[in-house]
Amino acid sequence: MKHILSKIVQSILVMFLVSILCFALIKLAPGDPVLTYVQPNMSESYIATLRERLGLTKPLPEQYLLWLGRILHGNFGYSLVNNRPVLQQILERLPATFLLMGVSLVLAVVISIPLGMKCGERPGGALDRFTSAVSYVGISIPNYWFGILLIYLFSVYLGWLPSIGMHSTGNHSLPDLLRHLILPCTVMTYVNAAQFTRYIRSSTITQLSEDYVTVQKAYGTPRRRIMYGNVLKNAILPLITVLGMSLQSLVSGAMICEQVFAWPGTGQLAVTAVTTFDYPLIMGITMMTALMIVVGNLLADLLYTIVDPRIRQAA
Amino acid sequence: MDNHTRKKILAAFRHNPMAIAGTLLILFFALTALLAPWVAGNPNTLDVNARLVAPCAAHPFGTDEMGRDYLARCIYGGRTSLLVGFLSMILSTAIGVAIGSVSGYLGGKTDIVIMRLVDALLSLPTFLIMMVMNAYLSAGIRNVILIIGFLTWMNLARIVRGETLTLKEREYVVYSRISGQKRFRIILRHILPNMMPTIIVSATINVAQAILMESALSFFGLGIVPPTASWGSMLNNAQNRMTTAPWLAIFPGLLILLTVLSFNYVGEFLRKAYDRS
Amino acid sequence: MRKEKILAAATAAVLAITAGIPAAAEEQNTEAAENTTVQESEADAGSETPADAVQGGNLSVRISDDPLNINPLYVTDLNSFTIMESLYSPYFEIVGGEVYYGNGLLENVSSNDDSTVFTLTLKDNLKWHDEEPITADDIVFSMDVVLDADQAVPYSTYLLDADGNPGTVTKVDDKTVEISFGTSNTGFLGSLSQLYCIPQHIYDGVENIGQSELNQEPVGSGPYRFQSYDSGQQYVVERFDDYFGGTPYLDTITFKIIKDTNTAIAALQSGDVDMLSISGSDYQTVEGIDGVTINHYNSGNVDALGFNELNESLADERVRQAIAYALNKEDLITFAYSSSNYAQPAYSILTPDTLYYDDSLTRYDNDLDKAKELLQEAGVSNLNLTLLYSTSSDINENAAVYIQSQLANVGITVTLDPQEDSIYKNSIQAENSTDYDLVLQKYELGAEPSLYADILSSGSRSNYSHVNDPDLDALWKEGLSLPNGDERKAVYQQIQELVNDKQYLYPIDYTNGFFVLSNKFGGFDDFLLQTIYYDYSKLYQVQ
Repeated sequence: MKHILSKIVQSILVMFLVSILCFALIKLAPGDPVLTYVQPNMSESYIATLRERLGLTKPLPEQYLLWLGRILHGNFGYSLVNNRPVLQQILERLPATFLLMGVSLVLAVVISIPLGMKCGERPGGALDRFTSAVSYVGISIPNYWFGILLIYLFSVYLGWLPSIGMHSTGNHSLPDLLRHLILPCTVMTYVNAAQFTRYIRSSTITQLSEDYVTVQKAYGTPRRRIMYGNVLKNAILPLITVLGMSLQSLVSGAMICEQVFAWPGTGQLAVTAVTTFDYPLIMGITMMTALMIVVGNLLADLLYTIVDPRIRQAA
Repeated sequence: MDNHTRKKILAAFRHNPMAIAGTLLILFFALTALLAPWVAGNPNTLDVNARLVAPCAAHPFGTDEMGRDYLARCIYGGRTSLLVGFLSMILSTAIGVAIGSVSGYLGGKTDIVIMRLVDALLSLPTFLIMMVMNAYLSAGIRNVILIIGFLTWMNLARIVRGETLTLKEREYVVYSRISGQKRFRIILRHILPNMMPTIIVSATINVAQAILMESALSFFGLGIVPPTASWGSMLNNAQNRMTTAPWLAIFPGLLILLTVLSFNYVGEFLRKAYDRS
Repeated sequence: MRKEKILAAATAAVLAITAGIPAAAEEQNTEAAENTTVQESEADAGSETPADAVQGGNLSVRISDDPLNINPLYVTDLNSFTIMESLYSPYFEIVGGEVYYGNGLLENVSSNDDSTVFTLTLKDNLKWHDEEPITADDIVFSMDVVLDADQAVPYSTYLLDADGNPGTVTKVDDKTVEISFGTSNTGFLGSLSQLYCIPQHIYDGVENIGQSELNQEPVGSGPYRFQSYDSGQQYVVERFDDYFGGTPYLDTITFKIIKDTNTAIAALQSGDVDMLSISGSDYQTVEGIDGVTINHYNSGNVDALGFNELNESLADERVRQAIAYALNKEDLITFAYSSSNYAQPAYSILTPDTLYYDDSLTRYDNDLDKAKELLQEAGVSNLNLTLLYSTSSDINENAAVYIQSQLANVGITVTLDPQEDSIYKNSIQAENSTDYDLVLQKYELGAEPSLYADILSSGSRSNYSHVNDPDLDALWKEGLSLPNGDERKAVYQQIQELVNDKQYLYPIDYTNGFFVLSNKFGGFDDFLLQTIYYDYSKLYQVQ
């Protein structure tokens, strides 16, 4: 209990530091965001109003405290570009990102656990060698290159799948959505599964060399029982940490993948925010993502404590 | 690293064809990049009459839309990509090792503060921050290296700190401490040498990551300034010619894949080899 | 991630395809307005209804980003403008230098002899999308909003005369409005075609119209009305049956948000998108796609190279001339656009369809020796220059690489400075910026020559070259106040010569625009009035 409490306190401290870093990074940036929106023949009064709205007149520490106070109340301010509430814009994009990243994560877990365990069971076997090669490519391939290759193969040459977006026009049916999901989801699942499989494989190998396995084998416990009983339970422990780290992607999305497939998620929103210098939006997305990272790590920590009795005792 | 370990690793290396292939590939790319001025033509010579030539005898990799020889650009591009990869790895490793070992060795409040700062930095969405910084700072190789280097040291710092915590309880470290040696001397003499394996493995994988990051930044049009080529920027330019000039996308994409794959493989091989010995 | 500047005023592209439309279209419009339900049977009456047109269907149009603000008085980006044109009708358009009423709210606009008083007359039976009538009160209200400093309308200058004084707007009767100015305002029709009418019954009393929630569900006057908007995905508009120009053909138009150009082209290929505009660099790729037609049009856009005069060396006109001689315009265009078919070399700062365009200016044909000579005369050697450009278009990068390689031949070292669009704008818009020496810029300023003053007048924010020439300033001012005629023509000729002789700006090319439309749809020629001015009611699905 004490362990848990101290973790939570530490997380809050981290979030506080993040907010300072985030604020400093954006505010110390050179450039006048207003100038981005100036076109020939635009009236000076319009430009002046724009600048006023940014409230850049106050001293930095005061600006920071005001900003911190606002975000603690859930007010992330308004986009410089289209004046819509930052939070609302992020929330609008969340379902798309959540769907893409959620499905990819679940698929990656579903694929990687049995695959990683099979490979770990016979390291150096044919399946292991093949899987290992495929997963090395998975962690080494440039995401966008892979995405573009998929689009040209499946959408352009073969014409089997839609290349972009989430829905065909006027068609909000589930099959249509799934067809759109296939390509971006393939990219993300591949990247995630490649990583997860490697973790499961190596922890399976470690587990299989533990004493309890030898003992159970000696008692003649069926192989399947050993594998899907104790080994599985212990082998997926490292995955908890990895999944905790991946939790943030449910909110932040994947900038590159979303960009390539025109998937309307938060990753794409982040790219727009950067290219249009929309710093309330950049700060909003940064803070939301940071929060998810911290929460993800905290959850993984807690889960670990619950699942693994050794850590519980140590604490 | 003692002689015994080295021998064991070399033995394992000889029996691992993939690790050999990866090392050779890295050496080949690195050599070609180093010798670029002697092995390749000028990558920046424009030719209005030889634009978008498909691979042929005169231009084995074809030419791009500015009539530049694509083989020469791939070689010089490799120079940039590998340079970014290596230098940002050195930067991030140096920072990570320094901060991790100091934090772990000193312990106490210093450690708590530093580690919470590392947590905070790790909690920022790295790639988004990179894009923001890249947009502020003027583009160019130097800034790309600095940005990647300064934003990727945190994981190593954590690992190094963890190892330092274990190592500093070892007898010989305790002994040197009691005998009144200076702290930094102890870190340099007794702690760092003992975690070289960890550092080497992590550095190898960091190179791979840095190359991928550079190419991703280039995908968003940030990073390297033209006419300098990097594999990432070449891929970015090639994108809208996938159907008319596919070689423009295929060559740099493959080169990135092969290089990153090699580094990852060699890194993983080293990790296993060290673990075993 | 390609972005284009929205133009600030009317462009009068002389397009063969739109020639002769005004009269015929107007005829059809009045007819249709009287009887909106007989669209189908109208084929025999109105010669304009195409034989292959069917009622219904959806058209998917690519836009490159989320619209920023759909309110027509606050539109500052091309994506919003593209959507806005389906939702709101202009007062009128200027097509081929003539006033075109076809898709406009006005039936007539006239001015007195010295261009100080303009009379606007509305068409009959105009309705907002919520069925409320459109009246003179809406015009007066909209003009008041434009002039109200608190409302901060971006282009409020459109309602000012040469002395900077606002026009006086008065309602004459329910259909008629008069706008009068203190001095003659020859360019006002061009400006008026850019101002839109917004509904008074919706926005009356709203404090900050530009930021109002009401803009999320716009009530417009155009052929299509708002249906739905999914951020990051699409903006859908549906047929407005009471449109004064007759029931539009299509049931819906879906503006799909696709940021990446390559993705957009792949979407065109797979049929997810029916219409998009492309740049020359994508022409070849799109040419190979079956079932689509690439329509060419004059985009009204000029690409130019600016010389920052705050740089001491560049303040010398001989150095600027030397740079002009060192470049080969044809090669530059070939490298930038892949083919010289996609853009025409530009020799004047005005576009060919601008009033008083001069075709006979001295040309700086590529001559390296002359360039070196001029540099020597100016006493300049080992010049180091920074060339700034926006990464929003890869055309810029190719042009910059060529300029760098070409200027190296005359001993000028060029350092390229590619910047993200937002940073690029920051650099060029900042007052007295010395962040750059050379800058690749583009502008679309239309057919009215006085609107070009903004890019080369001292003290103007858009004068990226920081040109400060009192003679030029005086000429711009004179041109604005003179009534059309030989005297005015002479002024603009003088301006073009002056700018060319001193090389205040190096115009590179006039770009062609390319609009790709799926062959499943028709009516393009009537749809594209000019440059980025569209009449969506003319598009239809073919049988």
